[in-house]
Amino acid sequence: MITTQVPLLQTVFPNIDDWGELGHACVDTLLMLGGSLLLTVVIGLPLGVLLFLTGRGQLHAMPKLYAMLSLVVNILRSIPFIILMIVLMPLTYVLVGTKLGIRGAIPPLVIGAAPFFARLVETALREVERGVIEASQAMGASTWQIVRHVLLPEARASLWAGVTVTAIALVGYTAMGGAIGAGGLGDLAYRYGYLSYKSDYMVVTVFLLIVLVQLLQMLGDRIVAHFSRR
Amino acid sequence: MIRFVDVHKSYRVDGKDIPALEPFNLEVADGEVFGIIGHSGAGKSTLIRLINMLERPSGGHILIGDTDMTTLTGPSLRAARQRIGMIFQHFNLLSSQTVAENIAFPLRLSGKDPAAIRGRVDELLQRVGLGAHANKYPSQLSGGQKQRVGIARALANHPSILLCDEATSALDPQTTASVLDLLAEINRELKLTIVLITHEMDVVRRVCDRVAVLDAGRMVEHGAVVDVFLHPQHPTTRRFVNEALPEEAAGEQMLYQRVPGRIMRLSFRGEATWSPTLGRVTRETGIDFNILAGRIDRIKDLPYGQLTLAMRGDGVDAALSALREADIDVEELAR
Repeated sequence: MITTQVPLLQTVFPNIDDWGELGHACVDTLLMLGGSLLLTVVIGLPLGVLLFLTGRGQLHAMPKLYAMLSLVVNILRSIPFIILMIVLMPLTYVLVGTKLGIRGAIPPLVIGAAPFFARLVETALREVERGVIEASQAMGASTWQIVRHVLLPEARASLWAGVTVTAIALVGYTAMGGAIGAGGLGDLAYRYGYLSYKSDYMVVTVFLLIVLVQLLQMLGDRIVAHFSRR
Repeated sequence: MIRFVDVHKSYRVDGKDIPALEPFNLEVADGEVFGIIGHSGAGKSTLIRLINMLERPSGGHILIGDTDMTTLTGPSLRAARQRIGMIFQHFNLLSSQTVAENIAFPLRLSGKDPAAIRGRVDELLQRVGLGAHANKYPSQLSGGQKQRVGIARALANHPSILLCDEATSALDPQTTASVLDLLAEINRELKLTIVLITHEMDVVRRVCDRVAVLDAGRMVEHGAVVDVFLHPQHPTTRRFVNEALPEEAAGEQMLYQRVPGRIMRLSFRGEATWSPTLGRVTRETGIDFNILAGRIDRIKDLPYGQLTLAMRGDGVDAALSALREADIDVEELAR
């Protein structure tokens, strides 16, 4: 099987001589994506809940704190990722001991994506009917109980949609990160496809990225559909 | 007993105080069904939320038994709220949870153990007649069924007070009737105090013992439903009563001018409804009468009748005093 397939691939993509390297790049991209998505949710979810709770007219309206958080989130969201990555390099080094590779990519990925995800969380929570929150207060629920048993379960479909959008944004970020030493598919596309004019590398990596994004979207849609009860 | 003492409430909008409720005093007795009627924006929503401190008053006190609700905060307020059930116009159920989980929710909040919760949920499902729907989600239920879930949830922690915030306003007339029947049954069997707000006089007539009328933040009238219904004093109250009896309100004045005789309105209530007083009095005094409008109905469990008559003859005055003696309210509308 392999002996017959390799010559075929070689005819179509003559410049790709190391398919193993491509496979390795795929794994790197997936690792970066998985690691950064997990941390993004871990940091972005509480941040989003805090944004929601401190917002105007909400359970714990604190205009000053909200304005401050909101400003930080907006600043981080307005810096293009590739610049954010360069700006954060010293911090990245302090945090993980390297500026390169998967480990070096994760801090900027998380710092870039967590504010984005936090905004999505805030929006998702705002869609929870006020009446349901009021009913829970009337039943004597504490704020923590409302977050845990009302807001998050009621918003879970939109939250999963937010995770999906964030994951797909992170795929784009990892590819950009590849250009400045993070490895993965973006690195291959940039080094071979762009700098060395091996356009078949570009075709294959773009194809793999499209497949990855498609898979993420399909998976996300399934989870969202499962949790939709309206 | 729920007591409002010099309570008032205003909202601060753009640096100005907008009054929502002008100072008022009110007592709701244990075990009664108390209605608050008013148009939208009259302040009734604010008033009912003062009871469980979803809204805090700008001044005054709200006492439930010996507890001044306005002094409670944090855990003590949450504990007090668990003893006050509340149902809503739009039900406000958790859409991500089943019927049984929704009913269990207040029990979980108060830290009951799973076995006790299961038993109590089953009991409540039976009470509101939803035994077959325990595992459905709210989106699979009709409006009336959703409100029944709301009622079961509100009753879960054995409250002594049930607050109903326009609980039947989103329901069709038939479903409204069945939900009101359920509320009346709960009031009767569990000796629960019910405070309800509504904009429909018919809701008040069917279930309430006493009623307060709110008009633009002012409590313009309150008293027993029979009195307010049969003898409304304030124009707003009259409008509400007429809404419940549209056929009588329409063209009333025109009609009176065309009919010879004295136009009298007779109101019977309770026992007087069943005795043939009018027949006896007309025979004895030799007057003649003509029925212009009338109805015999019930206010909660009390039968009542109201007849508008044109009376003619020499004995009208004698007839009127005889009717009054027989405990019939007589009111002259036009001569």
